[in-house]
Formats: sequence, structure tokens, C-alpha cells
Amino acid sequence: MFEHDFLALFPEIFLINATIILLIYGVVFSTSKKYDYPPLVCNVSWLGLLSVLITILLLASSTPLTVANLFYNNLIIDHFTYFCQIFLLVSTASTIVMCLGYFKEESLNAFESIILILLSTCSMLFMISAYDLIAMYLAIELQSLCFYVIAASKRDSEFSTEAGLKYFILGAFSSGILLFGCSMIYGFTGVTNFEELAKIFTGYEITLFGAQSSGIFMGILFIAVGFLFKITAVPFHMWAPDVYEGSPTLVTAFFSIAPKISILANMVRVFIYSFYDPTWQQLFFFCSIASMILGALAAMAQNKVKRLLAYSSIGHVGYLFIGFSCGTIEGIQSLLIGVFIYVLMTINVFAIVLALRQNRFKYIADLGALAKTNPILAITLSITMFSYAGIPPLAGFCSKFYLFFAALGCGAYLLALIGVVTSVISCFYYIRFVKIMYFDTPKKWILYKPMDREKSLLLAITLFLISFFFLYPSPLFLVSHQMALSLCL
Amino acid sequence: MILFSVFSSIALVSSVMVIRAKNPVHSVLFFILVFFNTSGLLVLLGLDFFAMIFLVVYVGAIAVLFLFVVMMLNIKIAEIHENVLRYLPVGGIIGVIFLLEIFFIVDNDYIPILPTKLSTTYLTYTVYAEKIQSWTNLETLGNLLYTTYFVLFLVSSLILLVAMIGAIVLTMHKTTQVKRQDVFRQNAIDFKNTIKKIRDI
Amino acid sequence: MEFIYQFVWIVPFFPFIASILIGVNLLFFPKSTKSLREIWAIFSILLLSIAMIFSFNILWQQINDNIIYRYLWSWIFDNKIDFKIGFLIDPLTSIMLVLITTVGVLVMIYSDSYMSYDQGYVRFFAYLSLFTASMLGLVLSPNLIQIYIFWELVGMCSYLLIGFWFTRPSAANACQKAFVTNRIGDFGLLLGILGFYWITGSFEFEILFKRFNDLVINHEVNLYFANFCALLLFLGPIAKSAQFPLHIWLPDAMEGPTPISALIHAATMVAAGIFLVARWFPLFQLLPFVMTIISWVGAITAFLGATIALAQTDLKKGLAYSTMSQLGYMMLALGIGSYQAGLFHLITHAYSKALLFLGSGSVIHSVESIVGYSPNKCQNMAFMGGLRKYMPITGITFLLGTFSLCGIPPFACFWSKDEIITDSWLYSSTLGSISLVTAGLTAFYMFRIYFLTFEGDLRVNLNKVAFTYPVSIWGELNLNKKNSNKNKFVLNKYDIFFETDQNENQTDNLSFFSDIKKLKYPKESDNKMLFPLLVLTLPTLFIGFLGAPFPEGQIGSDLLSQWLYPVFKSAEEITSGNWLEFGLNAINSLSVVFSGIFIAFILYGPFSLFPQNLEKNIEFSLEKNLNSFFSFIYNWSYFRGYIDVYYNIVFVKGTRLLAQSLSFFDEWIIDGFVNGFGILTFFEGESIKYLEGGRISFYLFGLIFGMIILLFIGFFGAMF
Repeated sequence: MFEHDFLALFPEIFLINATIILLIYGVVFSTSKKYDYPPLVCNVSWLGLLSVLITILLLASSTPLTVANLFYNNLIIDHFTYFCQIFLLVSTASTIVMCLGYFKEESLNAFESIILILLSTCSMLFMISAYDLIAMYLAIELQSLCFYVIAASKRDSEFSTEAGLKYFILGAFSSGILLFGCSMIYGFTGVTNFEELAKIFTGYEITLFGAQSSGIFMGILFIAVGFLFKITAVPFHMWAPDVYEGSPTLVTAFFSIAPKISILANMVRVFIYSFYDPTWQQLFFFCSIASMILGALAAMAQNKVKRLLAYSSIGHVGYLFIGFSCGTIEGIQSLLIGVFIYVLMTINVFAIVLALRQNRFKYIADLGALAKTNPILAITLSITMFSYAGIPPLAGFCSKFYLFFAALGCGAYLLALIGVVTSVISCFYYIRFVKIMYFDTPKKWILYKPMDREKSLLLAITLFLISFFFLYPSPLFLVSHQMALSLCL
Repeated sequence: MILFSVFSSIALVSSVMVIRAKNPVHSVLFFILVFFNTSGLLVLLGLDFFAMIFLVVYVGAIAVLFLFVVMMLNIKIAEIHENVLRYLPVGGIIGVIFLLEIFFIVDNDYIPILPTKLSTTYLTYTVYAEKIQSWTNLETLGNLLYTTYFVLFLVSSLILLVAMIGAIVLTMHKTTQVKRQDVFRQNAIDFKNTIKKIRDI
Repeated sequence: MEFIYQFVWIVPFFPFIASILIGVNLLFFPKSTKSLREIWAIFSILLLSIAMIFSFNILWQQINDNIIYRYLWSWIFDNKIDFKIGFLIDPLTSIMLVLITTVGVLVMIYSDSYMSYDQGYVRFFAYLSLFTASMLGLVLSPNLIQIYIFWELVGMCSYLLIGFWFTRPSAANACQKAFVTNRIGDFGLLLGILGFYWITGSFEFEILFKRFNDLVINHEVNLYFANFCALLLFLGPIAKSAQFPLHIWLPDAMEGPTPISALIHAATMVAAGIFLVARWFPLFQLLPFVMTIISWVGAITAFLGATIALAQTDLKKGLAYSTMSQLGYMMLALGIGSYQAGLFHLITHAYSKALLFLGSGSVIHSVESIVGYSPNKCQNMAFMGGLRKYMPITGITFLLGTFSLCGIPPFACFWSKDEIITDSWLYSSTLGSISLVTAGLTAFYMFRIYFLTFEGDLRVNLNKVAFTYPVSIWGELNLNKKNSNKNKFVLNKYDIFFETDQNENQTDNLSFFSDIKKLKYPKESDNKMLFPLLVLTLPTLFIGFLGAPFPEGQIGSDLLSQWLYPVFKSAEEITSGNWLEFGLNAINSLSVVFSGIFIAFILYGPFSLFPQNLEKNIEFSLEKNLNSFFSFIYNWSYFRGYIDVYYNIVFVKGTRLLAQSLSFFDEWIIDGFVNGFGILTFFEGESIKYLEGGRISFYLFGLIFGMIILLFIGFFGAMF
């Protein structure tokens, strides 16, 4: 019945199996007295990296089916999922690369976090290709559960525990809302499949007091709230700074990179493919404006790096929502480009944050005189910050440019205007990094250890992409265009 | 219908009591009551298997666990309810609005499937309900879960795996300072070897 | 054979590679690169020669089959925006390619010797290659965006090269002046490009022209707006080609090394403006108002340049004004619609002027060691004279160049200039008379330069002008002493200079005829410098025949016009008449030219009526002998038409005043606004920070609250 489906799902199956084997390996060997309870973090991370890379290879090379509905319409693969999944796996791989040195320096012997990262990657793969409300919910739940655990994984730290707890309670609440929305949709339409939902909603006006069902409206609203919570858009963002700050840096990096891709992909699938309607567009319109404004304003007063980055990611979610709320093909395309570039920049920044770990790089002021102690790193960080701020011709500018362009294209002038204004405001705190690194002379000079080779390689690649993206951006445009088309046609 | 109102009203009241109870033990007990009532509702819907599962899992496992925790932590009773009235106005308004939201939904109906312009008179259809041999809940569930929707089943198993890993990771300390039970060693210990006479008195 | 067209990208690519390699090596291995300087020079010359061979090949292909070849590669691809980059080959392009590469190669060979003792030798080659590459790229560009990019690159290279001796304050000022002036033009150009993109929705030339044509014919476009955009667009060429209101940078740009003056400020970059106007010719043609403006700007520039050039004592600045005047000619030709005459003059002038500049460089190079290194001295014609005796080859080639530029029949510029004069007569008698008078003036100042430099006696040794302490090439002396170990070249120069200084003192004491050995006489430059001069003589002599109307073939035999004709089908009827008519026209202009030469000969020639071996400034003779009207003109010309002064008064001071008032406004109102906003946001940020207390119940509350907000938004969104 499902033979071909298994073939198409081979990468995911491989990743799950590899993860479970790694888990068994870890459990067996780390408790064995014979080997004197070896710390297996390094091995497991390398093996996990390897398995992610193999999964990328499998995904990229050997799928015989390119467009198919799998497993009784529960999952789908098409160009959109294909590129999203590859991109997700690449970002996961880079996160694992980042953390290779981390455990050693933190003397944190927890190979389980790698296992959990891999498991959540699997769940995100499912999430991208989910084609049914149940499958979507299960994937989201799997992912969130992994996240709760790794947020609290550093048990010695109070912050980490608190972050995990907060994340867990709020996340459970939002999951409940999401599930409520799903059940409402099911209750009022009788279907859970996206394609059938799309067919039902075509030409169907969803209004609160209309002749037709407002239950669907509520359902969509609840689902939207669930998603907005997961992606830290503004009215539902409050957990993000606390969790980002409290959890270990590695986990913060992972939180702000990988789930953005998968949740946005899933959101695009749900809202643009199946619930395509101008009503919810207004919700995202509002969220986009609010996130941009809050991201710009709240980050200004932050002194801690991770908190600032959390607000910056909230702001970026706002920018991405510009493309989302347009609802046009250009909008989706600009959204995808924006996600790609956002992830690049975030990988770069977090690699730097992880690299600067002599004492504990916590406050922005710790960066003082980095330009003198480590000029190359300072240049890298400043270029990334300029890119975040959207200074041409760096990649960040390109992404913002296309998002605003899409907004103007669909007549959302207010969005574009607010986007420009907030990006100007946000320049302040991005460029404050540069100012601190280059012009401040701190009382206490902090010398950072040289970083390991993997991280420097990662930095080099991402920096190269950020700085020279503008030279030849067409491949990304073509790919994103194809993705958007495969979604909309 | 009467049963429905009874079950649901008791469930609502006891769920309010879960929050309002001063003694945590009481609130856990009310919690159990909520579960009982909801399982009653499930039975009314004809979902007998789910009702049983509900009881077994929630009451049998989770609520008992809660009881244990509550008893072990020994929470002071008076602490909880100092600021109830402070939040009441805002919380009340929001609650009312939320209830209104739900209320809008209540008088809505199942939406019609695609409106078609084709005349449907000539179509003959078979009533599948007659052809289906009546299955129990359990059979239906099994049939669907293990065949058509096995992917979902697998994913939920993964969720359970993650939950297990999470629980272990967050609770088990592998450092040397923590006292831990080692069952095999305990069983293997011989009384004669444990106490040694060091010197004669 | 279309095969070769596919490899056209090699032409700009090779010099680019050279510049990048040199630059990178200079950055990372400065010592070894400097020690391998010769190899790098040869390397870049070699690459450029390959490019030159390619471009010759392309020219040959173009002559044979006359295909417009276009290659496009999409750079930024989107369904709304579609930027493509690529190249476009048509006759215009291929001619420009050959021109740039040949002059480039020759200038490189020349500068190998000219710059050989300079410490920035390798850097110079890197800049030079980069310039050549970007200029070639500019010529090959098929759309406006690419043109703009290369336009800026060319401007940047020019900036770098003018300020090559950046430690000299005048050079630093000059390069800034050039850059700022060019920025004005570039700004206009960018606005124009965007304006036309708005009108037509395309950056590609062909589509743009076609659409614009349709729009104009159907009256679907606001003509005032189109005219405005075209004028903005024309601002770019005005600045780049040193046309009238923005010409002020060109003479100052002569602070750069002389090979640069030859390559950039005579042959190629300044021609870029002309090239752009020529490219845009089909568009300007549709707007008669703009065409009139172009022609008048050209005429004014031509006349102004010629008059200012009359009294320059600086050799290179004289040539610079002459360049400006000739560019004005070209602009005039384009403005009156004789497209091919303008381009023809562009080509002939490029070779002749490159020859003249290189000749002047050779003169400067050899005089330098005698007079002093300051540009006030080594380029001052008052100290020269009689150099033909000492450097015959330079002298003769310079003379040939002068002949060509004046428009003496067999030489190159004659044919083109005559065509322009004839055409402008046909167009309007005012423009015709201006161009004719300018031709006479041209003859006068060119021969004045020639006579002052090469004929008569060497005035340096007659001169007893007290030498002030020189401004060194690399800044102040004490600066060099600090790093004297590194700057051996400079020190060498200083040694030489001290010698000459002593010599100078001695010559003061001695009578200058008695001890010839102590006196230094300029020597002929070495072969590397003479070779380009000789090579450039060839096109100066013969390239004119390319466009000369031959008697036998009547109209069609005019090779160049016949060949350029198909580029723009709408170009008006070619106006070159038959031989007789042409000759009659030529007599007219020739008579003017010869009268100019005659006057120059009388005033400055070796057997002049006025004795000029006076030690004082030679120009006083003129003032004594002619009446006050001429002295007024002379002064006007000497001070560059007072234009710089006016600019200084009007723009600089006015701008300062404006800036002060604006800064006051800015400081108190705008800044107040911005600061207030900043403070406001800061407080908001702080308040938001404290709003998040960290209580979970509060968060949950916020969650529900947000949900209700969203509900209302959805509700009102549905309502409206």
C-alpha cells in the first residue's frame, strides 16, 4: 500500500533511525563501567552531524518522487518542501557544528541534547511536509516537546530551568489553543486535510457575523494564535526573550534558527494554501507591524546579548510577516528569501557569540575593544550587524528590499513605511555593537580564546554569503520562485 | 440529555473548585472528579473505549502522581490566594469576552460541502452505513491507526520517546554527589560482609 | 564568424584580472611585488595587448559582416525586476574598443618608463588596468544599469589616478574637485536613468529606444518630463566630458601623472560622455529641445576652452583646455545631428591628443631634472623653448600632433573637424561662425604651445627667477626623512634636485654661455617613451582617411559614415558632399586656421617680431604691444575666464552661507525632532523592558489579551 511512500520518505526514516541508534549507543556506553563512564558528547555530536549530512545527501540526490502526496494525504512532498527541508537540515547541521566546542568548554556532558536536536529536526521535517491538521499538530507537538527539554537541559543554571518551565507552560497553553482551533475547523467542516480544506474555502467568505459559519473564523484565529506564539510574533512574544536568555546559548541559537524555517513553511502551507482569505491577512498585517515596532524599540534598552538577539529575531519575524501578509507570489518569494538570509545572518551571529567564551559573553559591553584584541572577528561581527541593519549592498539589505518591494507591489504601503522606519530605528542597536567594538575602551579588557576551526569555517562561509550575495542572487530567486509557484499552483 | 447536563455541570463546578480550593489535596481530588465526569460525557457520546482510557490514564496515573507530588512538597495552604480580587476585574472582562467568542460559535452549523450546480437527482447512492458491519470503537481505532494513519501513530510514539528522554534527562543526575539507589548492589550485599569487627573490645 | 563575439567578455576581463592580481599581491606581498615591478608591468601590458588583438579582431568582424551582437545574462531575476548584464557589440562599440585598447597599451608602455622611479609604480599599473577594464566595460554595456556601474567605476579610477601623488596638496584637492564635480553629473545621470525607466520601464537600450519612440509618436508621454529627464541624463556627459558649466575639474585633473592625462583626460574617459550621448542619440533625437541645448553647450564649451587655452603658461593645462574645446566640438556635432562627424572627431582627436599629451609628458620628464619637480616649474612653458634641438623625435611628433589638431589637410583631425564645421554651417550660421572662430583660435594656441616649447632658445638657463623651495612630489621633506630607508627613489630625486639647485646657484654667478658643461640640457627620452609617440603618429597621420570623402566613390565611399550608418537607421541624410564641395568648404576653414597659425608665428615663433629672450615672463611682451582690449582678453583667458572665481563666490560661499543657516535649522529643529524621537523610543524601550516582569501568569494573560486584540482586528477587518 505504501511502498513508494516509504521510498519518498527515506531521508526522514534514515534520520529517525540514526537518532535512535545514537541514543542507544549513548545510553549503553555512557553508563558502562567498563569504559569508565566516557563523556560521549563529542562522539555523538560528530555522528549526529554526519547523519544530518547524510540525510541532506539522501534528500538532495535520491528522491525518485518529486511531487507526491504520501501516506493517505497525511504528508506531501513537492518543490517547496524539498528546498525547505534541505535548508532546514543545512541549518541544523550548522547549529551542530557550532556546538562542537561548546560542550567541552562548558563541561556539559549531555549527549541527550544532540539527540533531542536531531529528533526535533525530524519533527520539523515532518512539519514542513505536513498535509493534514493532525499530522501538523503531532509534528508541532513533537518539536515543542523536544524544545522544552533542551531549553531546560542545563540543570545547574537557574535561568535554564526557569526558561524551560516557562516555555513548557506557555507552550502547552498555545498548543492547546492550536488544537482547539484544529478541532473547531474539523468540527465545522468535517475534514482535516489541507487540500480538501482549500477546496472548501475557495470562494467561501469567512466572516464572524456572516451568513456562514463563524466557527471557522474562530478556528482559523486559534490556529493563527498558536502559530504566532510558536514563531514569537508580537502579541504572543513574551516568552521569547526569557527563554532565549535563560537557555544555553547553543539552544538559543537552535531556537532562533531552525524552527523559524519549519514553522514559516508550515504557516505558508496552512494559511496561504488552504485558508487563503483576506480576513486573516489583517491579523498578520497587525502582527507584522506590532512585531517590527516592538522588535525595534524593545531591543534598544537591552544590555544582554542574547536578549537583544531575541528582540532582533522578533523584529525580523515582523519583517518576514510583511511578505506573508501580502499573500501574493512575490510575497511568498520575498518571505522565503528573507528567511534564508535571516538564517544565514543568525548562524553567523550565534557562531560569534559562541566563539567568544572566555568568561561568558553575556553583556554587550563585553565586546569592548574587540577590534583591537580580535580584529577579524570584529570585522565579521560588524559586517553581520550591518547586514542585520540592512545596509546595502549586504544580504540583509537585499532581503528587506524584496520584502518592502513585495509590500508595495500588493498595495500595503503602511507595512513598507513602518518597515523602513523601524529598520532605521533598529540600526541604532545593531550599530551600537560596532561602536562598542571599535570605539569603546573598556575598563577591563577581555581576551577571548581563539575559536575552533569548525566555527571559523562556518563563519567564513556565512560571511561570504552575506557579503557577496548581491553579486549573483538569481539562483535564490529562481529557487524561491519555484517554491512559491509550487505552493500556489 | 439529563445525564449530559448533570455530567457537564458537575465537571464545570468541580473544575472551578480545582482552582479555588485552598488545600492542594482537595484541588487534586476535584481534578479527579472532573475526569470522571468527562469520561461520563464520553460514554454518552458512545466512545466507551476512550472513556476507559481516560479514566485509566488520567485518574489512574496522572492524578495519583499529582497527589504524590502535592503530598511530598507539602505546600502551605494560605499562600495561594492573596491576589485574587486584584486581578478579578481585568481577568473577568477578558473571560467574558472570551466566552462571547465561544458563544458566537455555538449557533453555527456544519458548513455545506462544495455547493454544486449539478443536478444530483439522477445520482444513485448507496448507504454505506448499512454495508458496514458495526465495529466497536476499539476495532475502528485499531483499523485506522495501524493501517491508514500509521504515520501519525509513529509520530506520536516519537513524542512519547521524547517525553521519556526528557524526563530522564531532567531528573537523573550523573554526578557523584547524588545519592542513588543501586538495586543490584543492595541485593548482593551480605550482612556478614557489611559489618566488620575492626578490633576486639 | 560569430565565434569571436562570444569571447568579447575577455576584453574587459583581462585588464581586470591584471588589476586584481596586482592589487591583491600588492596588498599581501608588498615587498616581493615591488621587487617584481617590471614583471607586473609586462604582465599587465601583455594582458591588455591580448585584449587589443581581440578588439582588432572584433573590429574586423564588424567591418565585414556588420552584425549587432548582443549577449545577455540575467543577473537579478524576478518576475517584476529583471536586471541583465551582458555586452553589446556594434560598430560604435568596436571602434571604441580598439581606441581604448590601443591607447591603453601605448600609455602603459610609455608609463613603464615615465613612472619607473616612482615608488607607486605597481599601484599605478593596478589603477591603470582597472581603469582600462572599467572603460572597456562601459563601452560594452548593453543597458543603463551596467553603464551606470562602470561610469562610477571609471570616475573612481579617475579620482584615484588624479590623486595618485596624493601627498601633494594640490593633487589631493584636484582629485576631490574632479570627484565632486563628477558626482553632480552622476547624480543627474542616475535621476535621468530612473526617469526613463519610469517612462519606458526598461533599462535595455534597444527596448527603451523603441518604446520611447512609440510613446513620443503616439503622444503618450509628457514631453516636458521627458525633456527634463533627458537633460538630467545629459548632466552626466556634461560632467564627464568637461562641458561648460562643469568643466572646471579637467584642468586641475592635470595634477595626475602625464600618462594618465593622456589616457583618461584626453583619449578615453572624457570621451565617455560623448560616447554616452552617441549611444543615446536615437533618444535625444526625438527631443529637439535637448538637441539644441546639447549643441549650444558644445559650442560654448568649444569657444570657451579655446579662449582660455590662449594664455595658459602651463603646458598640460593648455592642452587640457584644448581637450575641453575639442570635446565641445564633438558635443556640438552630436547636438546638430551629425552623429558620425562627432564620433569621427572623437577618434581622430583621441589619437592626436594622446600623442600631444605623451609628447608633453616626454618634455616634462626631461625638463623636470633641470627646472625642478614642482608642476609649477616643470610644466611651465616660460622655462621651455628650443627643445626641438635637444629632443628631436619628441619635437617632430609633437609638431605632427599640433598640425593634426589644428586641422591641416592630410592629418587626421582635419577631416573630422572640417566635417563638423561644414555641418554646423549648414545647421545654423551662428554655430558655424562659432566653430569657425574656434578653429582659428585652436590653431593659434596650439602653435603658441608648440613655439613656446620647442622653438627658440631654452629659457631655463636664461632665467634668473629665484627658485622657491620646491614642493616635493611626496610631501614634505621631513616626512621622507622618517622613512628614508624605504623611499630610496625619492631620495634619489632629492639628490638630483640638490644638484640642480647648486647648479642653479652657480649659473647665477657665472655667465651662462661660458660654462656649458655645468648647464644641464634636456635629453631625449628613452626608447620606451618614444615608441608610443611614434606609434601614435601613425593614426594621427592616417586615420583621417577613414572618414575622408574620396572623390571617386562620391557619397558612398565615405567609409566611416557608411559603416556607422546602419547603427541608427533614423540618422539623417549623410551630408558629406563630393570632393569639390568639400574642398570649397575646407578652404574656408583652412584660411582661418592658417591665419591663426600666422598670428601665433608672429607672436611666439622663433623669428618673432618681439624679442622674447627676456628673462621675465614672456607674456608681458604681448601686453605691452597690444592695446588694452587684448590685454583684457588675455587676462580673462589667463584667469580661466574667471569662472573658478565666480564659482568660488557663488557656489562655495553661497553654499557655506546656506549650510550655516541650514545647520542652525538642522541643529535645533531637525535634530530636536530626531533626538526627541530617539529619547522617546529609548524610554519606550526601557518601559517595555520593565513591563516584562517574568511572571508566567502575566504572560498567559498577555496571550489571551493578544488573542482578543486579534479577534477584534479580524472582526473589524471583516466589517470594513
